Amino acid sequence: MSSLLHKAAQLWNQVPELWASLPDVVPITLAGLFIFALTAIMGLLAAVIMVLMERKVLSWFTQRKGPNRVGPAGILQSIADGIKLLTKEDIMTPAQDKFLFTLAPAIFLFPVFALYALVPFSEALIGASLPLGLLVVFALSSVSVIGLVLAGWSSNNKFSLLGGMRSAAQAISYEVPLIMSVIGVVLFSGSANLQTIIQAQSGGILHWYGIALTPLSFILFYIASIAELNRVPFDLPEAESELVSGYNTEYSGMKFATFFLAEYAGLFILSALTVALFFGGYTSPFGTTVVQQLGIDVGVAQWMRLPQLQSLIINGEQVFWMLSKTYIFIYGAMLLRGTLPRLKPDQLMGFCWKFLIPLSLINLFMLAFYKQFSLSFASDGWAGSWMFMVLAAVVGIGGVLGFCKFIDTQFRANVASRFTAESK
Amino acid sequence: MSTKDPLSTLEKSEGNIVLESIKAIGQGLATVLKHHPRKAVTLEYPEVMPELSDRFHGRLTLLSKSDDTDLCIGCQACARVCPCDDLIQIDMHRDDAKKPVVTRFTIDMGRCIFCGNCTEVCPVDCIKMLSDFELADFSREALVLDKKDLTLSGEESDAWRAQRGMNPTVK
Repeated sequence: MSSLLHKAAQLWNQVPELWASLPDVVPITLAGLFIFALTAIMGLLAAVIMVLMERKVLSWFTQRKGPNRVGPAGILQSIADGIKLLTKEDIMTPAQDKFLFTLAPAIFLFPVFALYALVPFSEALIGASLPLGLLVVFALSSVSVIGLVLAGWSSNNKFSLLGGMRSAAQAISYEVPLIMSVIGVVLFSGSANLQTIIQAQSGGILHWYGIALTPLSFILFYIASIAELNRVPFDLPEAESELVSGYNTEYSGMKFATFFLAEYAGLFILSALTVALFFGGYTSPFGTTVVQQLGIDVGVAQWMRLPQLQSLIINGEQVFWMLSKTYIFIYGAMLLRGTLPRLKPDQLMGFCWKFLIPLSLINLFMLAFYKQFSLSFASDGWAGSWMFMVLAAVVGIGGVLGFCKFIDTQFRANVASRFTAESK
Repeated sequence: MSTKDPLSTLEKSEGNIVLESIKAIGQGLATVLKHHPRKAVTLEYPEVMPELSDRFHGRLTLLSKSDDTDLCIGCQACARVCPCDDLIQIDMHRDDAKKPVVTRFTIDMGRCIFCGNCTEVCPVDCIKMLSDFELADFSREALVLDKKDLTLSGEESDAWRAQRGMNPTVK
């Protein structure tokens, strides 16, 4: 018995040598496969989880129980939904353009899944750390608009066409405040590389951009992203109770499931982006990760005699922070869905062009001035920079409130003109 | 008729439309969040049966006398007052002691509209309605209940009468 333990201990001691003796190709390939598996699985898993999460969360808001028949507490509901959609008949009329009809869901889905490779889930877990990562993210998310228009057009259905056109107009319009609200973050972090942006926010909760620097940018980004995803209150193109289903009326079975999955995947990605840009991504709110502070990472690595385990544990905790923060924002999107009524098309577009875009322009100018002049003020010492920050906050809040007053007068003039015109 | 001029209400209203909207949205979100810790009002049928009143219009039944003999006198009032044609079919004859004997009593539950007219006109309080609503079956013929399916035993009839505050025993 003791000889067996002795042999086991010998083998255990040889593990680091064995690991180092493998040719370089092996760990590189394994790492690549691991990252690929992670991003692919993360995408599919997110969509699967969110199908159930949305129904459960909405039911909690309305004092109901969500799905609870399939599996304990309804955990297997997503699988049941998937099986149902997979086995449904794929209906296509001869009048529909076969090629475009089949192509539209694909164009809608693939850019969204490609984005999973660009979002960093931890220090090491990123599919592709591009220097212009943020630009590529927004470019890819714009490609899926083509899928929407194709879907509406090839359905041979006037209502679908209408829904598709509205959806495209909405998506394109809301990209403007989406990107403008992010430029400030790029300005302050100095790079469009998502890893750099996240590292610039390390150091705890008070370094996060959404809390310490620009809550307004975060709010603008969040609202614009919900509009991008065609979610309530901006879901007129889908309008489940009005246009039947807008651009995806004529779709059944797996093609419908593709639109569905793409929407949930997009929700996960945009929430992950919100977290990455404004809430420190995978950094912990306590500064360094908890395992580093408690020394667990070093302790376990020494115990297991694998020095690589230390970074694995740290990355593991970073993944935990990233996912939990992302799911908080996904929950927020579902909260908005369960609370707010739907906007009319004119209200929808007016909200974007007449409110969000001017506001994001004002926000951008304020951030640009702050960045420029804080450099000179900071050289005056601690008191100078604090004074400037207070001044900037006062001017900022004053500017935003002034803009709100301007909107208010416009609104009153608009309503007044409508009523005086009616009385004639 | 005093209708408030919407224009004047708008002119007099204080506050910024933007800030008022944010406040309204915030109130909505707070209300929804308050629902979170509440217990769900869902009734998990069929594990949990709903609580029905004594007057519930469920399946029809024929009560018996307390000693398990027939209470029905075959007067056919229920069949005549039923709004559906030929729903209740009754065959009755009199025996040597001039007492009524009901040989056939069928009700087609598939066509019954559960209005309760028959329960109201019965002179001997025989035909009544239970709380049973789970009547689904696999064929139309199976929904036609005959006298044996409809009749409750003496004990069950006493229990039915007692629960509704009627005199439990019937001689």
